[in-house]
Amino acid sequence: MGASVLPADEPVLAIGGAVKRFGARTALSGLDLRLDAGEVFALLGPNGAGKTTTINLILGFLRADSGTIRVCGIDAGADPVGARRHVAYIPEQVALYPGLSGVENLRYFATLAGLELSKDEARALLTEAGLAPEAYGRKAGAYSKGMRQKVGIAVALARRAQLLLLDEPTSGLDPSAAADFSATIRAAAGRGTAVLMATHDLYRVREMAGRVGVLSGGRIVEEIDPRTLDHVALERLYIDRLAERAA
Amino acid sequence: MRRIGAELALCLHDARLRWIGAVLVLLLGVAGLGAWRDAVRYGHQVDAVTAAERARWLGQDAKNPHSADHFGLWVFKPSSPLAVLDPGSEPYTGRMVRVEAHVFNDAVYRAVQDAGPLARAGLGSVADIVGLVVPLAAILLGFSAFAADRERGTLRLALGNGIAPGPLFAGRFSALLLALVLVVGLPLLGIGALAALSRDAAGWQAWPRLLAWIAVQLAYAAVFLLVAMLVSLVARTARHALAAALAIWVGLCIAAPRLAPAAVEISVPAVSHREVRARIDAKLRPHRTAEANDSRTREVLARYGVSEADALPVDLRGLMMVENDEHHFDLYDREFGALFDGLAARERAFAWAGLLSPRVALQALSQTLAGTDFAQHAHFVWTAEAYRRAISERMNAEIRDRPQRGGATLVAGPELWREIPPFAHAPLPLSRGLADAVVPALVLALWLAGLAGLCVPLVRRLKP
Repeated sequence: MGASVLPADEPVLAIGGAVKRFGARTALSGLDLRLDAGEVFALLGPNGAGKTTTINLILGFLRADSGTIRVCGIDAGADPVGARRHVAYIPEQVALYPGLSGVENLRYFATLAGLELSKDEARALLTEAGLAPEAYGRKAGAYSKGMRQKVGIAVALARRAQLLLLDEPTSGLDPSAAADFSATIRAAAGRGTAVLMATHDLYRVREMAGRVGVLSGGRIVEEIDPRTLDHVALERLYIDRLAERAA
Repeated sequence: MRRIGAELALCLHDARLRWIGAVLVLLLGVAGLGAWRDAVRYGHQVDAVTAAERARWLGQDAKNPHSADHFGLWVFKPSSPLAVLDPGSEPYTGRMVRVEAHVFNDAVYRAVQDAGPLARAGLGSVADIVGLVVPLAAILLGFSAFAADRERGTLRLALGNGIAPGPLFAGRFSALLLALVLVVGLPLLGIGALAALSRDAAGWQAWPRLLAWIAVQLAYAAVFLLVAMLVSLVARTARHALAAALAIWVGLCIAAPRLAPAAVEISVPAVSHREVRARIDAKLRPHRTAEANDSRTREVLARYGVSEADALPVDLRGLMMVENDEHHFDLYDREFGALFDGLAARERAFAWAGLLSPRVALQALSQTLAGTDFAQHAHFVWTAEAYRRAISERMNAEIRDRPQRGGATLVAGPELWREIPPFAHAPLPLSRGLADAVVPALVLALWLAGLAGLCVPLVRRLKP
């Protein structure tokens, strides 16, 4: 699933001049973004900056008022189902079926997505996502937020999609789990998956992302290579850009 | 198929299905087994009374054949084996007819007179439960199909991970329908099979009727499953979906079925049985006067060119009875024929009234397939009338062809009584029922197609 080969010059994600308004409020005002295979891009911005709106547009849950959004060459506005075939997604709040175990949840979502996962394969994916083996068979209703997040990661990993969308992926994870998660995402990028993450977590951004876009007023106001800055400098730069924008 | 299996497994994890299944099996079991016990008891009673009536007919004293014609006997309507599932019009139309000289009798002994408490609650038969409770079960299973996922957040995870809405909807619908087949179809099959195997099903084509009947009940359940899922596609929360689906259930299963008969009565006026009786009496009155009788006597004597009855080659009273009955038969054919035609027209209109509610379409379709519809009753009434006429014709012919001179009266005995065969009634074949079922089946199919058509754009635009 999602393993089709793209033409060399075709980005995995291409957003051009995307505008989205909710009544009088403009959430995105001409967002441009290009993401190639194997890249990890972090959208950094305060609450209401348009991070989740961007993800919803890519998933086709919202339709842009103008501009284009293409996933692996497919117009996400015109063919959201087709575009989503190439996408894996981990929402900020992963919800699972409380009556099913972690393994059952993972196998259920995989089956609906057209994948056949054996119990062993499901367990391996949950291990890769960082879920403790003793939790595999427990009902998801008893899971903590972090445990649900890990099952969500496993659901996304199972699909081996070309684009991985992460909405505040490390919120609710303990430091050790967050570190594991960073490693998992880097591994996915190493396999050629393009990753777009919306986050506040500057520390993880620096650890995971190859590019950072500071989103403010519905557009990317600065793009940064986080490896050229330490955490403090990255935080100062981020706050300065937001302050400039507010002024 | 794997998607359906996954959805069914999810469904089976839900305690709702177990509760709904248990309640349905209990209700259907109580109603079905109760109806089966009553049907078996009624069958035994009919067999016993039919044998007693036959013995009474054959054992009657030697008498004038016309007296024997008035002696009469009772004939009984054989009940369809599937009346255990859907008694249709049977409880209201009478089960036995008194066959006697001159009179086209109405069927009497309506089973509804023996109705129990469940019947008074509108749940007296398996068909009542399917019509009223199964939609509720379908709604309780289907209302959360998408709304609960939307509320919980699992729909966002599913759609965001490449799960296409179309197959998701199809898989869920198929799994829930399969669940309904388990908790509705199997109990119906069990009760129907018990009825078909244990009761005299000769001529009823019980098995094809049963399978078609169950298929129709499941199609009806599917209509309400689609209603629930349609609401679930658009509702923000499961609670909203349930409230909206229940409101639709009240409208379609309770309000509209009460409006439909009124609408049919207004749009297809029909004369009442009492009016027809009064009209027949009014037309017979001038025929029964002494003057009219004298006039007919003179006409017969003139026809044979004789001046007195003893000079006739036939018995005058016998001949006049033959001719009187022919006059009556024509009148009955015209008047009762018009009455039955009018009632049949109402039945057809009632089938179209199914456009107001699938429950109305189901009622029309279910009775027809079960062999308990008005057409079967009318067929029985006319078969009983044909039997009555055959007895009268034989008795009258016996008198006519054995002229008695000097005022003597013919006396006949058991040889003549034995010439009358026992009453036999073959039900209308299934092919006739299928022809009558076309309109309600089409209406039910329109409900299914319409709801599925409404679901398609909503599924395409499905959002978390």
